[in-house]
Amino acid sequence: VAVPVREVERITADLGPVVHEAASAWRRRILIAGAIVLIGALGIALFSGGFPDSLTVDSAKPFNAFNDWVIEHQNTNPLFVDFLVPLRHGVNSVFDGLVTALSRMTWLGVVVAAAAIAGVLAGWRMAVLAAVGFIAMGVLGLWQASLETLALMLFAVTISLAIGVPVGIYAGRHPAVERILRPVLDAMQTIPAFSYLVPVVLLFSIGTTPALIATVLFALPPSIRLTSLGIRLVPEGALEVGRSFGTTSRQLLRKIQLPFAKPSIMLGVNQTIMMALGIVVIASAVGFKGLGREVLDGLQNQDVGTALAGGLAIVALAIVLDRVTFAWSAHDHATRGKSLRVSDRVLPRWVVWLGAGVIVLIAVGIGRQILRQQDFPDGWIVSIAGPVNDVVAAITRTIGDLTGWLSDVIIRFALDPIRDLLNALPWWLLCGAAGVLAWRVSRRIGLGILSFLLLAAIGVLGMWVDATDTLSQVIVAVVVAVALAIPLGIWSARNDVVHRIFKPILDVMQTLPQFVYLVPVIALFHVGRVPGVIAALIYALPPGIRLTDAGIRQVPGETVEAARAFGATPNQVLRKVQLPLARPSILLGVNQTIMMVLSVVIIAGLVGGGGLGYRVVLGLNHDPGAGMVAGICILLLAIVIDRITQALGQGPGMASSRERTVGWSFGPSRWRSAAVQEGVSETPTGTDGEASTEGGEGEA
Amino acid sequence: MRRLHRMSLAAATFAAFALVAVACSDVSSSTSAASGSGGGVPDNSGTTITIAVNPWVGSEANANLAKVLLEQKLGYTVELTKIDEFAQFPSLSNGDIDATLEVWPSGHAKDYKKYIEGDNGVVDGGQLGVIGQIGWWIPTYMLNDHPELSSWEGLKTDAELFKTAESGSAGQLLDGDPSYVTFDQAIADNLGLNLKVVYAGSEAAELSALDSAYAKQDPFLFYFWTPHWAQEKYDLTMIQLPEVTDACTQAALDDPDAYACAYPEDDLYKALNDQLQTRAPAAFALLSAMNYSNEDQNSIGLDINNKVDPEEAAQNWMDAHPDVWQAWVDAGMAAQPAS
Repeated sequence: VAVPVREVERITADLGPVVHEAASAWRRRILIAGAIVLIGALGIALFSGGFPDSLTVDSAKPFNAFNDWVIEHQNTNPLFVDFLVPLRHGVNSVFDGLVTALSRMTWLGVVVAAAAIAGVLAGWRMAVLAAVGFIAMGVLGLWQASLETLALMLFAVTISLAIGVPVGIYAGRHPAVERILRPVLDAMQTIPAFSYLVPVVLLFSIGTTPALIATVLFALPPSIRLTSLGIRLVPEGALEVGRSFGTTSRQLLRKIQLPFAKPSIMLGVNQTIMMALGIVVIASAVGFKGLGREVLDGLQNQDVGTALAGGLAIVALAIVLDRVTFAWSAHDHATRGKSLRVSDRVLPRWVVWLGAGVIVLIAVGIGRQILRQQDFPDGWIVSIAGPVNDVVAAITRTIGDLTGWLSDVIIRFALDPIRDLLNALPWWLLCGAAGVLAWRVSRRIGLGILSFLLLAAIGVLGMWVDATDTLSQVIVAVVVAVALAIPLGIWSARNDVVHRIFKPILDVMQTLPQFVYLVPVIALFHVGRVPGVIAALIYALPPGIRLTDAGIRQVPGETVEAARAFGATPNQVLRKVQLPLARPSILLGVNQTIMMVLSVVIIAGLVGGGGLGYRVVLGLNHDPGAGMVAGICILLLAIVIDRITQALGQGPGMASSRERTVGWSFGPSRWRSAAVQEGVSETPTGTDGEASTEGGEGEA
Repeated sequence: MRRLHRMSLAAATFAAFALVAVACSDVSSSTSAASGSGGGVPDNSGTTITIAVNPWVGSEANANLAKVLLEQKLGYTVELTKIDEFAQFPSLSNGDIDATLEVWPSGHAKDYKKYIEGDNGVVDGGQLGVIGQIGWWIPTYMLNDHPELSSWEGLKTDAELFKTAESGSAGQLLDGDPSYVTFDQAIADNLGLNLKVVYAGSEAAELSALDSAYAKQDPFLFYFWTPHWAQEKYDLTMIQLPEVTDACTQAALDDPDAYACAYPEDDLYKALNDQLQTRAPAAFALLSAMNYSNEDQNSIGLDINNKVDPEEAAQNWMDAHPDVWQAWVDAGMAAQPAS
């Protein structure tokens, strides 16, 4: 391919500074690293490490006092008697009603209903997928548990959307509201799912109600955010046209803004559902039943077979819900009604719904009157627990020593040394280092000071040792995850076959709730910190791989061509051109990797992971004050890490919008939403910055 | 937007259809299960009793036994809820849970004061009959080389034997489920022992660690208790800790960090929601009367451990010991209001 000479000159001129900068940057980096080591060594030698007791406050006390107050007044205080207790009963009866209704539809009715809804919304392929998925849950012997999980999810998603969409519309039309909401939503999305559980337990004790409330809260941000985004991105021209016809504000919303925002709102529905599923599963830790309970029991009883069956059922449910809702938003958008074409006519929607309703009715009738089977038939259940446990036992016998050894190595040569180092450093040095880092990468002194203060607050709250424990696990997992993800991403970017093989795998990986990742790891590594670290790094691989891949693929073909024209080897093209230009995207991947690792390391507290996550687990059980404080500290740690790594990615031309990472802590759709928003944020209203596709030019 | 309207209308119709389908079809599949079969069993099926199952096998044994008795003999509907021993108190107090059948008093002095004596929705349901003892245990084979380990003073010199990757430079004292009652770290610190408490995560995880250490005859120090079926499977020795003093009893109540002696012998008791007696008098009477021995409980627990379904395990024991449980059922029947 011939590249016009002028074009080549322009591009090389662009590249020159990049290449040159890279060389001098390395020299500077070595100097800085040396200085850091020196200061660190001096700090350790001259000062005592850790956080002094004299500066800590008994932060758990007020929460425990509050907890005691709740217990003493729950039968007398009007807040409880007239509000919380009726609320709890109300929630319980709605939930029980849903479960009963689903059970009475019989398994056949539920399967057909799922398939019918999926079919009408998203086409016959999705109908088949839904039917297969639901039957799989039955075959695994988890029909009842699946219905419970599904019922709570439907309940929570309904409430989340009922709140989220109107709030999102309002925020979308009132920039002032949007500005107030944004930091709140940021914080909500920075909190790992697990931490949502503590405060709700403090108020609502355990059971279905706290599970519901935690789920609603956790699933709320994406629906608000994506609705508001959709409204804001309505082209100004369309609004002008509407206004020129003299529409009222209400008409403008209904006729123009909502229809334009629909794809974004539907994406919000997809994300809300997936995030709800993620937390409904974790909610087993606060006494909710369902599929999560199966997994948790399995994990805690060393019964990998049971945990795996539960995990597979969750996978089935997650894939069905994700694919159907995602296909719905795409399908509805692009190919409305196509699959339901009868001869030349497209059937009206209501006829289709009616037909589906009749089919479901018939299925329910067959289930109740002819089959007379409310539950999934026992004869069809395949119990995988026993065989899986045999396999696990065999694996443990053969490679148990190896995994045990590996586990010891990770503890002795990675986790412990890092933790000891973090504890040996004086607190102000560590906080200060974080502050300086934040300042340097963001070029904002405010962020530096904030980082220092937030980290110091963890010490003041008395969680320093737990936080360093958690941090050491995060560091180890992130280093390994990044070391794996970037090469895999590069490989995938340069090889289309690999890319195509990776895609479905990564799609599925990003659909699975965090909890599921612990199951196979526990089988090999039992309990402790190591399984948490390994599960975390596996969970966090996809965004790193995808964003590296995408970053490299986004490098303009002519730039690569120009480099080749100058005789660069493929290796040089990669190192000198593609990687530097893909840097913003890769760093965004690193940011997501870190946040995802953090969320799993926290959940691993359930299986002996230690650190802040373990304090949260204890808090859920019997130490609510400390649990609450640990939850706050997780939030502080998450904010600092998130802001620093985000700032890292915010080179010139890198969009700063928090919205690229909608829902980092769970789900598939994150990738898609990031992609969608990158695509759409280049608009008059998208004031946050340019889309990252422009990154290459922007840098020059 | 008419399309949207029609769509929502259609969706509503669809939902209505589904509901009608559920409501109309009058198959009795849901009601037939509970009715039971005569024999003088009262019909309490409309009343659901929720019983706590704590994460250890003894608790599972009690709860399943109570479930089978309440369902078979008194006609109640019983639900079992997995919950840990601390979290269960708030739930007992607000009525989410009706009964817990095995409270270990040594760890719950505070809860007893707060909920039962403080009249916060929980009443003492009487002794379970099972006598428990929490302590630090080692496999007996360790005494061959280290006879001094029969007492805690031996740990002053021998703590290093128990070092693991997880415990670092200190010796490892393996605890079970993080929710269990334990003063272990306080005891070790206050006695000047270089031990670090490491949580296995669950009873099962702790037992699998014991099993693998036992097979290799490795040093192993762990938090454990009796009665437990594993005491019969493995030859275990409890390390003598300093005797229980009043100061310790007080510390358990006020300042757990100051605890520095052995765990006292535990006379396990039951705790019930204070509304249960009015709501389900017969169940209240049966659960209050329930009382059996360590051996009885172990026999159910061993079955459960051998993967027998817990309700079946309870049934097996019932078949062999009608003399023990008949009195509980009689107490329940006596309290059953005539209908």
